[in-house]
Amino acid sequence: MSVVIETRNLNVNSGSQQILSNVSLAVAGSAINTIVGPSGSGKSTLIRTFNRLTDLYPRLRVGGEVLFHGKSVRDYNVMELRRRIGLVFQKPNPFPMSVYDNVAFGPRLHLSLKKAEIDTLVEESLRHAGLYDEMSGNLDKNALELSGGQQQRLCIARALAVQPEVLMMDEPTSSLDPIAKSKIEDLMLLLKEEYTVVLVTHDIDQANRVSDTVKLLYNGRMVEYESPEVLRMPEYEHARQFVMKLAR
Amino acid sequence: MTETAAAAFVRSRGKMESRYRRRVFSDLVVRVIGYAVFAFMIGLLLLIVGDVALRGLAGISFGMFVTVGNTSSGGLANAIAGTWELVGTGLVFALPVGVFGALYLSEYSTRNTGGVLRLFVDILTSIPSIVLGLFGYLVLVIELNMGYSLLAGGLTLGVMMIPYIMRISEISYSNVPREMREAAFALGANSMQLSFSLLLRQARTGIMTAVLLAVSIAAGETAQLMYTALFNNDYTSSLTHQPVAYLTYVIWYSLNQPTQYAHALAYSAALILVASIFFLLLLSKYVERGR
Ligand SMILES: Nc1ncnc2c1ncn2[C@@H]1O[C@H](COP(=O)(O)OP(=O)(O)OP(=O)(O)O)[C@@H](O)[C@H]1O
Ligand SMILES: [Mg+2]
Repeated sequence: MSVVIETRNLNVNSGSQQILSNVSLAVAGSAINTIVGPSGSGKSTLIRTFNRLTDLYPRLRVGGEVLFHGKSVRDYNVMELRRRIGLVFQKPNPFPMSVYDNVAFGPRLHLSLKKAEIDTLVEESLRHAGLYDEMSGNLDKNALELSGGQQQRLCIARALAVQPEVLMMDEPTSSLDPIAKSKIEDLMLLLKEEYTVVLVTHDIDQANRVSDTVKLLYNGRMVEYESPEVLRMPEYEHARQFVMKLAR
Repeated sequence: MTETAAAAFVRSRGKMESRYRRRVFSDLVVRVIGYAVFAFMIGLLLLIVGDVALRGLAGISFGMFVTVGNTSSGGLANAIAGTWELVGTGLVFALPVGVFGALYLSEYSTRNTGGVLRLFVDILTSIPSIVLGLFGYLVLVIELNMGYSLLAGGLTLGVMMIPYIMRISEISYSNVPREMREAAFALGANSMQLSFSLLLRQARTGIMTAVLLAVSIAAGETAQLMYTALFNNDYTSSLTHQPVAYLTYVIWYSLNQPTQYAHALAYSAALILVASIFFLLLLSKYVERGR
């Protein structure tokens, strides 16, 4: 099992608040790596350090190391890093333009492509995201007119279009109904064949259904829930309830 | 809840009810003041526009639109054409400066550089137009040897238009939601690509509104043009060393002439100007709504 992303003693604070404390973890290649934890535990912040989206918030100070293929993310060109580590956001956030232009947005940033090449990329990406059959005749439709589930799959297609190695999904189903949700879960299982998937969720059942590895983040700390001593500590009471539901 | 607490709670309902009349009354007072202000504004507008329209319509003729004039005889064709030439020249200068200045402000500037630029732009807005005119005269007309001309007048108008375009564009850029910026960055965009493939697109209507506003304000300027464009009894075809006619000059000058015809020209010029500005403002409302 190859390690694609690794953090060592990762600390993030916002001046007033310690958001992540000494987080060390490894993300395995070609697997679904799930991070669970209650709201506010720092899950989104954690994965945003992987593609340096935390750079957009000067107040956030990031200490420790984040390695991508053994090399610090600081040493990558940030545009390349973000192309190779894709992110699907917690809330669907398509651009207010056509379905086609949404998917083509990323490739156009990185390459100057002919129309035919973009057409192929758009089609491929939509297929991967399981949206092609629904949208094929409708690529000119404004993305904001799609349903929430379709929008989220469009965002997945948009992220896939730049051909990343890692696809991070931040609670991709939290705003979706059960049917749309299960579609995206099926999709994740397909995607892990070709991509390394990092899944953030606070839905434990989902974590149990799709994950290869599960890590619990609690108050900005990784909880080693396999070691029972930790869980007997009273301050982890809430975390314990999380763990009880995690399939071993 | 204990019995006494419950009773107190129910009593507070009685208190709330006893306040309804007072609240209805105070609402009524504010409403009446609102209507009064509304009526006053409408009345004022009708008075001004009505006066201009009545007198303007009385003297206006088709000939005025197609013949050139010299403020006491002839038509207004040169002044109409000159007005839009001047405003157009100003816009060619102000639009890129405003749009890109705003991009700089919203995407690249730091707290300090952005603060300084915003301050300068705001100061620019408050410089009286006669002072801008003087600056245009000294620097553009004399120093840079443009003479009284389209370029000198247009650039001076442009300086005045920049703040409107820059500040409104900046607001339109900052209205692009954070999530959308993050989506673009997460795909590997840099700030320049974000600006060109997302922000400009999203801010189109805002920029259009800003342009229409700036144009309608510039079209009504007089003071800065008297020093930079002077006046021309004919059409202007050269960028430099040839004065330009414009409507506000006709209004200002003809009204001081002793003839009936000059007065008619002044009011017609006023009517044409007011009607065009109205049209532009309506257009900008329409554009804004179409977003
Ligand atoms: N840019 C920021 N500036 C300041 N504080 C932040 C910032 N981003 C996150 N935080 C804080 O960090 C903590 C963790 O936030 P984060 O979004 O990572 O949690 P989360 O686990 O993703 O929660 P949720 O499940 O609700 O999405 C919160 O207390 C939040 O207020
Ligand atoms: Mg989150």
